Amino acid sequence: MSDARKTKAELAAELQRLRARLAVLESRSVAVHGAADARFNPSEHFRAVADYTYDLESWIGPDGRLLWVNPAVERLTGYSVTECLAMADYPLPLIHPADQPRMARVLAEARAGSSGNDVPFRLLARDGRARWVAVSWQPLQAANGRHLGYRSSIRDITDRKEAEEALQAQRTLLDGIIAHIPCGVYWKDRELRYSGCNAEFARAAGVSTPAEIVGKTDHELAWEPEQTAWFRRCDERVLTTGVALLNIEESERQADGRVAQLLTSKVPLRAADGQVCGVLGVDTDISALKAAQVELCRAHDELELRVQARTAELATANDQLRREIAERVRVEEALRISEERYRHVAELTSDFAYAFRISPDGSSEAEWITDAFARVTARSWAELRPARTLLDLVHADDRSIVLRSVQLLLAGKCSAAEFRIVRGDGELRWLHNQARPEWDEITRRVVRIVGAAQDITHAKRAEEEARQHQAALMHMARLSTMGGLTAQLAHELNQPLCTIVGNAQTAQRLLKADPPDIVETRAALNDIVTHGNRAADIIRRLRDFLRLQRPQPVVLNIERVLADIAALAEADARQHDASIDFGVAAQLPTVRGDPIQFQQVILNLIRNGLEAMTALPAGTRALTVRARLDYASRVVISVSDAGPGLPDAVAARIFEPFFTTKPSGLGMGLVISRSIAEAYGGSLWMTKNAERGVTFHLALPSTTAEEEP
Amino acid sequence: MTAGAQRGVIFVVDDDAGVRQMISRMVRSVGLRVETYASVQEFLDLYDHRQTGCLVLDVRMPGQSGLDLQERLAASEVPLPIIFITGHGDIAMGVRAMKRGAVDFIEKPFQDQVLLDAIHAALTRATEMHDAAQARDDARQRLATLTPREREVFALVVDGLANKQIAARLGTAEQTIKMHRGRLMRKMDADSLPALVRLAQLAGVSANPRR
Repeated sequence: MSDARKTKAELAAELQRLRARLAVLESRSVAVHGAADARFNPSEHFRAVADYTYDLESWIGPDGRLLWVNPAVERLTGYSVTECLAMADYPLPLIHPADQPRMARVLAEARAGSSGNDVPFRLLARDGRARWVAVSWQPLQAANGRHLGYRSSIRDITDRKEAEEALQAQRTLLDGIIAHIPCGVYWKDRELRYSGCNAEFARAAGVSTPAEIVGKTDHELAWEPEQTAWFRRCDERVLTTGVALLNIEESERQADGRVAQLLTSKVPLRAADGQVCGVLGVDTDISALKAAQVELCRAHDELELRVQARTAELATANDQLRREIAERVRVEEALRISEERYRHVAELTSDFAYAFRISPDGSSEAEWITDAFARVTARSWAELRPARTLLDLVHADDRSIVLRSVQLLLAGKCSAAEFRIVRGDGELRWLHNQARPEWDEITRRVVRIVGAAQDITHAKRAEEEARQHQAALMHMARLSTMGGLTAQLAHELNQPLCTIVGNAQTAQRLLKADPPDIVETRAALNDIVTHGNRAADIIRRLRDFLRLQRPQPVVLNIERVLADIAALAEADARQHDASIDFGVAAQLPTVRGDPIQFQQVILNLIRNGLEAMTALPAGTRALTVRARLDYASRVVISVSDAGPGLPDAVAARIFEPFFTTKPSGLGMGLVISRSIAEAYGGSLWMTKNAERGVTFHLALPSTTAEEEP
Repeated sequence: MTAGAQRGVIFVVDDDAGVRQMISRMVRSVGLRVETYASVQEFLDLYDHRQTGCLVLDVRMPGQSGLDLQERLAASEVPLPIIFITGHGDIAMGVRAMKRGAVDFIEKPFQDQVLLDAIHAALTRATEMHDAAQARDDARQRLATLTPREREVFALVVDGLANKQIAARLGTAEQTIKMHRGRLMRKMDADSLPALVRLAQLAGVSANPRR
């Protein structure tokens, strides 16, 4: 409808323009006629006007053929006038193929005598370019009313068309913006009736299409009454003041029942004359934003709380850290004191520590060694051979010990060894060396040996003295044992002596006889030899037994040792009117020990057993000595008496030093016996017999599993 | 010397074989008979009571000792004098042994002459003891022939009482006592009071218990 109106208005304007141009043409015509009256040829003159008209003018005969066309055709189409006049179907070839069907109908109407104005179509130029033109046509009639065809005027409307298209594009853009902008957009006239809105607003307002809202007021829409009143007050203010209201926050109950939070701006719409003719509103739904804001506030509060909590945590952590730092300072101080102490110790101690690095080829190199080395060895580190092994210092007799220790270390085992070194001043010192290997985690190769050596010379001396004391004590114990044995041994010795003397004197007498009794004399002499040897044996055993000497452990044959003991004990048994029964299991393994100490232990046990039986009637005093192999391959020698046994209180204490039940006892016999047993890896203990008396057991490890045969 | 051989056997008891053989050889070299035993028990088992002689005895031996044997022999009135030999100089033991009638107490080692002298002394003692035992047995046999009244009178006479006193004691006449006395003197084959007293000692007649 508006297009129709527009066209009408344009027609009016066109008519006016044409009239104006006609007036100009008429006035020109009068001027031409007036100036060159004589020569005036109206046909010539109109042709000239027509030829120079800017628009494309043409005259189509009643038969539809082109009668005339002005030169403008060449400007617009590239075809010359002549070429056009030659065309049978002018102007179709000049029309864009897309417009030809439509224009064919228009041409037909024109031929039929209609008139038309400003029908747009596209001309197709010779060079193929299209241009928009508008055509107007009128039928032509002669004065006599004869139909002369029609004329047409084609004007280049490319500029207009482009402007229209641009406008249309802008409008489309605007419509698009309005349609798709996520805001409600609406506009009202001065009476606050809606003139239009976009779909978004229509949805909120509760109308099905934007067109439906036209002419409605806010009272007819979805809002609450007080909201409506507020909207209108705002609108009126904009209309009254002509000043936009920007960013009003308001709430609006919408058609779907939701109450939306809006951010609204209202601007006045002005007519061409500048008068305010309406109001344009843009609503932005900020509900989500608001909710987000609330959420944000809440989040902010929560964040605040968290920050506070975190701050408290940080404070705690800070305190902790401060405490840790304090502790660290304390520890460092302690460490410093410790280091200082260590340094003092390292400086003052007689120990020295060292580390050797072991190369893959087995060679070693000293990494470091503490200063005490020089004090202990009276040598400087530098004066050692280039290899600088401790071996250089070791006494020749002890090198095998050190080499064994080194082998152990290289095999990855810890080692402790005692050996002597020769100091720079030639003095001998005993060292106790302890070392351990360090491995490479990956190759498992020993890469370093770290150790410490201690000067134990004093300890060794003390040990030696202690050993001498111990030996002296044992000797004393033997003397004590012997004290009891002495009378019996004197008797023992007396027997062979008596036999020897008696036989010798008898032999003398036998030789004095006439004739001398040679046979008896020889027998007497034989006995003298036999019993002389017997006496010598007794004296040898006695001397061995009483000799003060360092224990000399050797491999012992139990049977042989017990035979010696039996000989020594025989007299003792006689003295006590007792019998001793020796029994040795077959094929006993050997043991390691000092034979004299061994005798001492067994004789002591035998002596105790004999003394335990003195209260028994003669003939029942039987002592049993047995040697056997136990389950652990130890050789066990048991001495059992048939005495009254020991009260528990006594039995519990018999291995205590200086505990004795004998009037003249030293109370050391069993103590020393046990220490001897333990020195050889054995043990000594007592059990009660099932019937009478007690049994003492001496167990010693057999040497069968050991080194030398 | 040969007389000794007739006088008896030397019994040697010693647990030491060497000593035993040596003494045996020594004793034989002077022509005496000798028997050896390794223990007291062995000796007791084998000894014939009719054999005379003497003992050479080791004091200390396993089982029964020499002193034990001395005690037993004394108790059974076997007339064997004992010579102790010992390896120990045990004086107390020696004294005890001597008190019980040992002939000698010899320490080992000893000179042969010491032992041999002791053996001779012992053999002499053995003869004496044998004779004494003989006399004792005689006396006892004679004593056995007396009547109870004669024994009573015998005891009182030996006690040294006069006939008159005995008669008063027994409540009879002096004359009767005289008669008993004469008879018992005859029975006992005693020619004097001292001889009668010796016989009383031999026979073991003791003083009247009622006194």
